[in-house]
Amino acid sequence: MSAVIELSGVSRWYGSVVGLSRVDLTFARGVTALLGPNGAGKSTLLKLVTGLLRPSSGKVSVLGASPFANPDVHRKLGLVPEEEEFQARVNALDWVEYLLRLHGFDEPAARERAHKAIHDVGLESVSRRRVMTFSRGMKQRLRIAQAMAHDPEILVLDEPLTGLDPVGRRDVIEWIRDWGARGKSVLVSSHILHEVELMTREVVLMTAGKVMASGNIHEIRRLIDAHPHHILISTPEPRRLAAHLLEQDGLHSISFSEALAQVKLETREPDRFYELLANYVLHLDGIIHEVSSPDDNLEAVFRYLVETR
Amino acid sequence: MSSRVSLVALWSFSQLLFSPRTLGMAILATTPVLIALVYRATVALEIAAESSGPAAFSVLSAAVSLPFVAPMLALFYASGVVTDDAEAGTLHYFLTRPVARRDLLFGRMLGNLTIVACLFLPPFVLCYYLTIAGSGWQELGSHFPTLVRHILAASLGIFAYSGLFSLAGTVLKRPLLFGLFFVFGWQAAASIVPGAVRYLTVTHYMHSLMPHESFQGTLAGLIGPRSSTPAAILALLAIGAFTHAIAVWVFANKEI
Amino acid sequence: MPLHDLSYQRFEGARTSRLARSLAMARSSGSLLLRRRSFLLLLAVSWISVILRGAQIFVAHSFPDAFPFLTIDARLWQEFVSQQVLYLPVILIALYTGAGAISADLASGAFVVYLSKPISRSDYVIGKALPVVTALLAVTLAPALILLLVHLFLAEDLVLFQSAPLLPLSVIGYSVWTCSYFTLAVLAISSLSRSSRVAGAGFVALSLGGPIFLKAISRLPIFDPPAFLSMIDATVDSGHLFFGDVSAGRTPFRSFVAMAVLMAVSVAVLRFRLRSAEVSS
Repeated sequence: MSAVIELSGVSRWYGSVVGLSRVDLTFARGVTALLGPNGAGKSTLLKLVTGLLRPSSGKVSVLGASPFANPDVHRKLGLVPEEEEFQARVNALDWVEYLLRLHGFDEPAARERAHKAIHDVGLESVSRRRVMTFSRGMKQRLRIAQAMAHDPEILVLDEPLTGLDPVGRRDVIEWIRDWGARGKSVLVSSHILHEVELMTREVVLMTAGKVMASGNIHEIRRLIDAHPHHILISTPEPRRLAAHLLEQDGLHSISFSEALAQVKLETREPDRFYELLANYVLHLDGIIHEVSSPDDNLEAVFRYLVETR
Repeated sequence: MSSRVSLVALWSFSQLLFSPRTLGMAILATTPVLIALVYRATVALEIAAESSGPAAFSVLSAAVSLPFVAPMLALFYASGVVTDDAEAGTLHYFLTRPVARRDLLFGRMLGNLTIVACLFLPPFVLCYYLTIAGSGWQELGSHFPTLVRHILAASLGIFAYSGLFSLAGTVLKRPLLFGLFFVFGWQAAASIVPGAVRYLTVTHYMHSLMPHESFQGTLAGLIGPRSSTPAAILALLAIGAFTHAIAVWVFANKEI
Repeated sequence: MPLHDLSYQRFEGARTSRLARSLAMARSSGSLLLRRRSFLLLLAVSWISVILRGAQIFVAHSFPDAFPFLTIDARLWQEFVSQQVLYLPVILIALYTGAGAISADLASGAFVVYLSKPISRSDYVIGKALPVVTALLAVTLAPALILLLVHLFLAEDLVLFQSAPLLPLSVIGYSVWTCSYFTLAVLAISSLSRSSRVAGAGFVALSLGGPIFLKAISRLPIFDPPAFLSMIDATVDSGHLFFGDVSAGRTPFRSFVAMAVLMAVSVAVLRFRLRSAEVSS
């Protein structure tokens, strides 16, 4: 898959503070999440990609060109900023329409697109109200509306779920998945791990200006050899299952509880053990009610990676 | 002019026109009108002796409108050419649109210049009317060239100040302090120091465009030769054009 | 009970004195100011006149026959403080330290955070005023007292204090009065806007516009405009009151009263703005 956004050996520093350190990344079509604690360099990376900053060293390329002050790149890019506000006396519709006019749409087309975007984000009933009267959630919806109104190829969203109620969060997550499915390149930065998992499985994990890991969450998890996977199995016959599993290689630790009807095991070969469990049920008439892995999620991956630094 | 520039200029102008800040600046801009009204009233009621209408207008123009109102308006609007959007939190929206940065800044500067002109010129012309009409309607016509000279000096001065303060607004964190220092510190000192220092001010060229009688009784009127009218016009245009151009270049390359 | 009445909040532990609360805020703002090179440069430039006055005192004492016109009397200190107002140091420092003092808090939402602490609005205003007043006193009272000490050091007699025994009190009174006046004015204007730039422009228009308008009026001539119509002229005129030289002023009593009125108006504006801001922000 060809890269839409490329960062090659990119570093960015602010005086003596390093914002990004020798980052090599490519982003293709689809949704990619940027994850990291405060100060990880996510906002710096997004500003480099959107052409608000220049790299101190290395090269940033968006659709084959440098994005800094580049109208050709900006024509195909939509940004949902984290903190940007709005002009005090403007209403939502006029604001989106004006930004569309800056994109080169004539007045009728800009007005039509603005209406559609405002409608899509659920602000139609308040489109004529001044933005200064909007709640935080409404402002966030408006930020999304102005970013998607011109149907860009690339969408960059900096903490898009901030200030949204649960319904709003669900809507935004659906929009992001939809954009990704439609072939757009979507870059999302967020702190909310479990919600990022609902958007995408492609992640870039950052801390202290460096990329710790990038790719599919499962792949990243699998590659973290230092930490075995935890697998939790609910079964009415925990002793029997535990005995069976003890005979296998690759087991790091195992424990079971008759009272809880549970077997807990740690292994560095989770896929192999999933197969074993399937065989246990199919060929040994074993009974298993539920299999879950509390580790196979973003938070566990992130925690392990941060701990190993 | 590119359509984007005019779009940005129109938007800036419309946003500024009905803002509370502009109301405050309008009060400042109309203060000379109030003084002219009081002058007219006191003359009509024979409370005060009448100085001639043209002289009164020259005083208001040379002592209030051109040295204070015009630079204050230019400073207020031009210094905010970037900081207004930065403070409002809207700058990143504009910087990520497919509009060349130079067009963005040109449009903003044009919008600002327009609002300054709209705030300054009507009260200025009204002052002329109030001060001179009392001397008779024929006086309005015969002194019209004086008004034209004053408007020329004011307009070119505003253009030059706007360029200077736009550049300050693009480069400095506190352009207001720079503007104050320039107008009330540097220019005030340079205007009374003999020598060539006065050529490094905007007021020298503005004064050169105004009728000489405007400066009777002032210290600035005593010292130093004036520049010729073509030289003063060229100098103000050059200052304005050069500083605007530098501001655009800085903004186009600046990381925000 | 109204929401803006904070008495429903229960705070555990002992409450420090008002001064301590305000000083905590002032210390924080002050230390931020002192870290700015531009502020230190502004202070340094404002002290140029101090050096010149010090040189004047030195020359007057060292070469009295060569420069008989350089007399050292109480007027020197009155003129010094007045000129710190007239020639911009006080205006620029008030602008630098005060224009954004409250407007920045309103814009960032910090004001609401302050109100959630056990401090009153008065504590807040005092805390904001202290750094401004201190900075202004640093270019008025402090150098004036240093000049007094320089004179004491160089003089062989106490003739000055015999002719003006209340001189130190006059210097302190005039300086404090002037600094309080400009502090309250700039803070009131700062509370009217969420933009420090706009607040600064408003303060400049008010403080510097006055003398310009008055000069124009006097040149017309409509009438002889009273000094109290201009912030700067009123300050300079009121100085005559503090130095017991009333006849040398234009209308020093009226200027003093006008300054007092403007200070009262500033306090009223602050009370109104800070009461409404907490509800709307």
